[in-house]
Amino acid sequence: MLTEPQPYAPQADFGTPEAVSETMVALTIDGRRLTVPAGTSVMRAAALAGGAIPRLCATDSLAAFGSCRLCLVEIDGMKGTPASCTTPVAEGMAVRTQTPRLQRLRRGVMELTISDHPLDCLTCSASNDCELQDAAAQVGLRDVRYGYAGANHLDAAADASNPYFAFDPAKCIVCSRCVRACDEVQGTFALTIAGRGFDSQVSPGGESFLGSECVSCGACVAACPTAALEEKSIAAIGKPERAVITTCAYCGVGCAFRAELRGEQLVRMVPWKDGKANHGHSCVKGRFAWGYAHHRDRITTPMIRERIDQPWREVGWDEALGFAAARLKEIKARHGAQALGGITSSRCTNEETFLVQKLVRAGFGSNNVDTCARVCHSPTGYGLKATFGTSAGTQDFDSVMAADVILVIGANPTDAHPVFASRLKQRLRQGAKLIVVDPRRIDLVRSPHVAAAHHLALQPGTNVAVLTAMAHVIVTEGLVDEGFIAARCERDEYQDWARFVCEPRHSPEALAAVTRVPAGDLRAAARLFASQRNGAIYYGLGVTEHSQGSSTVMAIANLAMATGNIGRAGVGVNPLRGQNNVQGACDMGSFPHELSGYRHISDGATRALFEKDWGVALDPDPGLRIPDMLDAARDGSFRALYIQGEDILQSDPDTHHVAAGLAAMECVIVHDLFLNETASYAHVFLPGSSFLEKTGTFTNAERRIQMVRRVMTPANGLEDWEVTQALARALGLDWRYDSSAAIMDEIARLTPSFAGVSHERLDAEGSLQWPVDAAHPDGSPVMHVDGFVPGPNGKGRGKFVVTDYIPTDERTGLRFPLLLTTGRILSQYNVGAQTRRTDNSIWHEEDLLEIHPTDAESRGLAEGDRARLASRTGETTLRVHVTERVAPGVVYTTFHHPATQANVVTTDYSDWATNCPEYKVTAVQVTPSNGPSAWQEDYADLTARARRIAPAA
Amino acid sequence: MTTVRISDDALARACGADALAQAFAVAGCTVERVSSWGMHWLEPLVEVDGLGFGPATAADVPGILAGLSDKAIGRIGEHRFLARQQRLTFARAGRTRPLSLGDYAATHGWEGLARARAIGPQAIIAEVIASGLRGRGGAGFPAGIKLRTVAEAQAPRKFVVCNADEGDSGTFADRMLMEGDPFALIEGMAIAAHAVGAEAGYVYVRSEYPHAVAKMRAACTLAAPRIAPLHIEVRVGAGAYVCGEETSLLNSLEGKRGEVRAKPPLPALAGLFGCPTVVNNVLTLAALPHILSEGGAAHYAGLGHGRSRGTMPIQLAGNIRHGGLFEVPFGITLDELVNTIGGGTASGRAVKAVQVGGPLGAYIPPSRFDLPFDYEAYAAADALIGHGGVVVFDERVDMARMARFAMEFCAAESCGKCTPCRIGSTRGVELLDRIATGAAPDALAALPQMRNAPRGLRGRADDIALLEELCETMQYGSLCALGGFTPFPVLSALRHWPQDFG
Amino acid sequence: MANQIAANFAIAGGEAAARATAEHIRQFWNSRMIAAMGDTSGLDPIAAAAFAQLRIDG
Repeated sequence: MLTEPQPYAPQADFGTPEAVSETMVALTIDGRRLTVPAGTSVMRAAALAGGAIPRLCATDSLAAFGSCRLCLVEIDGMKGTPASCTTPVAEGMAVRTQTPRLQRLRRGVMELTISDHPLDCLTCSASNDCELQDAAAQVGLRDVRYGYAGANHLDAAADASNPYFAFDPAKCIVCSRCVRACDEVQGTFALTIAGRGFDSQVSPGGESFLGSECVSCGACVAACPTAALEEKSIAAIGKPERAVITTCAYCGVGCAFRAELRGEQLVRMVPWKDGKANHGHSCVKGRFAWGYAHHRDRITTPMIRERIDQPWREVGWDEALGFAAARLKEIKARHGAQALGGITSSRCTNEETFLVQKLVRAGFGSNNVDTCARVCHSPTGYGLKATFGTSAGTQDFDSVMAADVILVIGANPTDAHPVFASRLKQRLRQGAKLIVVDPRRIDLVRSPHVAAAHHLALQPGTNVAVLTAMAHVIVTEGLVDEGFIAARCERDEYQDWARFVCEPRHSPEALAAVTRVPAGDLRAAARLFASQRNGAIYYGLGVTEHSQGSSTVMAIANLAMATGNIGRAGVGVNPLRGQNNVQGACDMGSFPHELSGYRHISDGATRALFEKDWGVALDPDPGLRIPDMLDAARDGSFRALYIQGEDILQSDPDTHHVAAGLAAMECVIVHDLFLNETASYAHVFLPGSSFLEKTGTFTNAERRIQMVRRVMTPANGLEDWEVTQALARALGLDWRYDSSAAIMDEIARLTPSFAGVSHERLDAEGSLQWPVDAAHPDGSPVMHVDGFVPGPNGKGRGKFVVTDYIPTDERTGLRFPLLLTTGRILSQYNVGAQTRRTDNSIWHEEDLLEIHPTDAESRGLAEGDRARLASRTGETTLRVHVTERVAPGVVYTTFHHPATQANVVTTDYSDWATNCPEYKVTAVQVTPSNGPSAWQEDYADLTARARRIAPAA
Repeated sequence: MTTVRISDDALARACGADALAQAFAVAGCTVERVSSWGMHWLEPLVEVDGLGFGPATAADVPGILAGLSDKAIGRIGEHRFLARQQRLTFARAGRTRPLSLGDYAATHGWEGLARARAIGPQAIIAEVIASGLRGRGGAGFPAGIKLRTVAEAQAPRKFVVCNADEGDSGTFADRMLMEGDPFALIEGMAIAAHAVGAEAGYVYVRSEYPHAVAKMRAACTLAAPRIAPLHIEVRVGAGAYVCGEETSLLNSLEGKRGEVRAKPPLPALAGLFGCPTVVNNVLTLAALPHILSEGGAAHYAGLGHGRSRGTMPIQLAGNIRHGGLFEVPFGITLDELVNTIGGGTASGRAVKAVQVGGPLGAYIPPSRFDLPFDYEAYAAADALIGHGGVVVFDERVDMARMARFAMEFCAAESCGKCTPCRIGSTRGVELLDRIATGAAPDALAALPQMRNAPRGLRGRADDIALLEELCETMQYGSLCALGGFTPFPVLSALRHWPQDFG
Repeated sequence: MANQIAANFAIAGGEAAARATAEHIRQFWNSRMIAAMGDTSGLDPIAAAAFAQLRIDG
């Protein structure tokens, strides 16, 4: 049903949220008998029965409010005319929704509403897509007998400050849907009703929308029943005529959207209410920041050049692919298969990623394939496989609504995973307790109606020590869940671990010197976590991007097992994945040591399965990781790299090292939307397609596989998987996929955890959470329910792993006395390739260095000053923001802008187990500066030269 | 040395009680500041050995001390204004010093609470139900049923909230009680809290009552050991009439915009901070100590009229000769209240209308002065007794202007949440102006683009019909009583005095 | 790198630590990288023992 474009119509709205109850209630509405769950509103019951009651303030994403007074009904035995939205059903209730009195009352209410509303409906941007217009039609309003000379708000000034939507108070009916959406759904509390009585008006706290606390999530716009809050694109283009359900390509939350179009022109992206990851919510990126897809920087023609100091030459697909294939073949002939490799993209679909790794393994003949998860969540893969037996988060997002205590460590969900953060905040407002472990005072620590019970502001790089100290408290104070451990975990390993954490050197008091977390706070936090019924742990890159990343993941898993918090709703270990499809890219066999479904390349049986299907022999030896490829390039043993949808020069650590590696290669093929930073070192540029231009699947952080659907024709003519297939064919491989669905069929055939997945099923069911196999035919919202995944030894019991705290070799000292840590901001995304090419830059024009007032003062730095940021590796300059969000001794910046090049500063220290770079800890010095660093100037010059495109002959 | 007793009630002080007390002190008397008897036209009233003198000024001091004053009213307790009353809630009015724990204990204070604790929650609730006590804030909901609902709700925290946001025109009983007998309210709250299992109580007092706030705060401190584990806090409103509506009051207490909440959920189940909450008016809670005294419930239930049991502290105000607090069992007629007890208008002119129940109460013409003071009888007459305020108007009043005032009041006090009240009240003012002056041409409606608008002017009859329809929309469509009751004064004025509407 | 791996397994103690280090390297390292290590005598003793193990196993 979802495959075909839908004719445009608003999504069904039942007026009030679904009630969940096992008790069913029978009632009659206008003589029709029906049965609904207890707690259902009369309004919803009527809508379910097919008879919608007129309404304005009610919408099923918000709690009933009862303000518009349009939905009045008569109920036998009840006096007056109760509002159907706020009246719950009762057994035997008899409701009448249409009587002469109700008709009169509704028309009277509507007449009042329209008496303070513009009358030029036909030229209104919401015409024919307006709930006020619909309601006026439903009640039969024909005239406003009060006349038009009375008091009104029709001269109120519009607020167009937000780049994506406008607020026109003249069209506002003060239903408070926007205010409630901001409060209940988003949890920002930016909006209010100012004034009272007739003067009541929606207000972003006395500011413009842009100047307010508004985070531009779009929830208010989605909730508005009129044109008062509306996307500017609707006013500019008009009402959409069709809608396609697809999945957002920004973060790992995986919000489902309705792309609404006229022809091939995208009018707006509206969060899809039936999306199970987002339930109709969105953030500023997915909702609004899609303009990059048509940005003038987009390259849609293939380009080649002999050497990287030459300008690019635009060519046809055949010439570009022929050029690339010839170079690859020549290098392979000269230096062997091991000189070739590829990088898959966690921005691309599962199908595309699978094809790239297949091209490397089956076409190039090496296992030199890696992916950007190397630099973000590779420790998650390692750590959860070691402890739980599989490399994935244990829960669905909905699980958070059953959590009683939530531990957020090394994650900043309100900026990096905003839609999940809104759900988390909903649960916190219901009373769940929060523990934040983060060197920085992230927004969750204190924001409207949310306050962390404990904020453990640890010294960057001491996650393992903090978690071990928590475990020490839990074990020594007898707070472990002995029953869970006995039933579900390996006893001997638990005992080894318990002995280890109990050692006095792991007490909070002993470790406080290292972690700088007061022992009392840590003990209280540990007790809180262990004492609640359901404890859930959410973590992000602040856990993984350390030299102890894998140890920290395992320490988290240990903590969850020790407290019995695995295998049901409300608990679990939840990695918040950075990229839209980083889970999928890992699942698809993007790592050099394993095939899809996390099966080691050395496993003969697995290899045989692929070899039979692909008709080639596979190398049993693990391939090179990204840093290894770059090292090998410098010693001449690695010479060609196909990079799909990743900008390693900007995103990987120690930019000088990356640049030197790339410069040493003979054939760098960049397959991307834009001439990114890496493309400066490329010989072949293959234009890519955006997520709006392709069909396939993404897998989000909760293992949910969702369809990405082609909304419009690719600007370059080909979907990315078609380009990879064309390159494979140019290399002589006989690939004949006629659709991405056929690729998914191959994935399902070769990957046990995807056995039951197909595009057909996803179209029918919306989404599936792997594993989808014989044991879990409908997928797995929560993993490890009855037991852990059986490992190669077939036991299926949780394994405690002793995680010794080995400090990083990166140390502060006299020359570099501060610790730099990095992160993201809400409006920008990663290296900013997309968001910088949208109006989102209005919120974040440049990367800033957060520094504590005492550190700023001692360096003579004031707010907005330019500073030089130097490490042992390199230096850059950027402006400072003086704030107490960071502790003394810690500085923080984002890495969204290439001009900043924060990774010039980061080191090549990395996680001991997976090589995931230590982005989160760099010893630095900050000093005043009056201009860009030499590197920044050289780099600007290099980029300008490298991006030259020769004029057409 | 002579002891004189003078009230320190705000009304008495406004009439000069403080200067008078000073004058007696200078004259060498011991001055005791007591609560007010509630005979407003006699304030400041001086009591010497049970004899009353009022309204007194400093000039009267020598005469009063000599027993020769022309302000003498005889024995206060036998004054006919008091003799006709049956004071249960206001039993201590005029008789005790408000913040004297000794006076309170000496006048049966704390006996109700002691007995309540002895008989336990279930029996307390049973007695309150048996007494027939109904909410004195205006809605008349059975107080015992509300207690039972809160008592049966399962929740870790419960609250008792006293609504002391007394905003109705011509009402002052809550203020008099808080200023004159604060321990009675505290005892009542303690009884309610014990019945439902609440350990925190709030008194929400309007900001216009600074003396009541000060007395209540002082009394809460003094009574704290008596009522533990209950802890009572006094909170001051911010001047919004609508915050007297219980859900709006709860929002205000929570620090939110004073906006009405839709019901259900009832505050009894999801009230303050979402917890089960008893919200009752001052007079309801202050009636509890008597009801919980030995035999009190039966005594209370034995008084009254129809389903309105017990006594009602009626407040006589406006253009009336003898205004003040008049507590009697339900059933008394307006004729007796206004003409016999109140002595007619202060201006001496004929009574034209009486508004009962505050600014949203109906205007009642003398032809209906036989109406017994009773919730159901008033409801049947499209009127309400509300909080018991009776405001008298003489023959000079223009009832169309009073109707307009009702709409204007609603417009000024609307929280703005629901459409009928937010927009309807403003349209009501405009419409009543249009009825008064006649319709002017509407430039927009006259445009040919306005196909459905009538071509000619709208007539007065059309506008009266529209006013009646607007009143129906507000009455049945509004979220709370503010918009819902505004039609009472408007429609009663229109019905009984159509000639005033041109 | 090898030293860093060895340090994280060191808590298991002597021979077990060397075994775990060797197994980890076997799983994640390309054989050419193992071969390229050359002289391992300068490494941490656990890492050196792990490489000795890897060479015996081939």
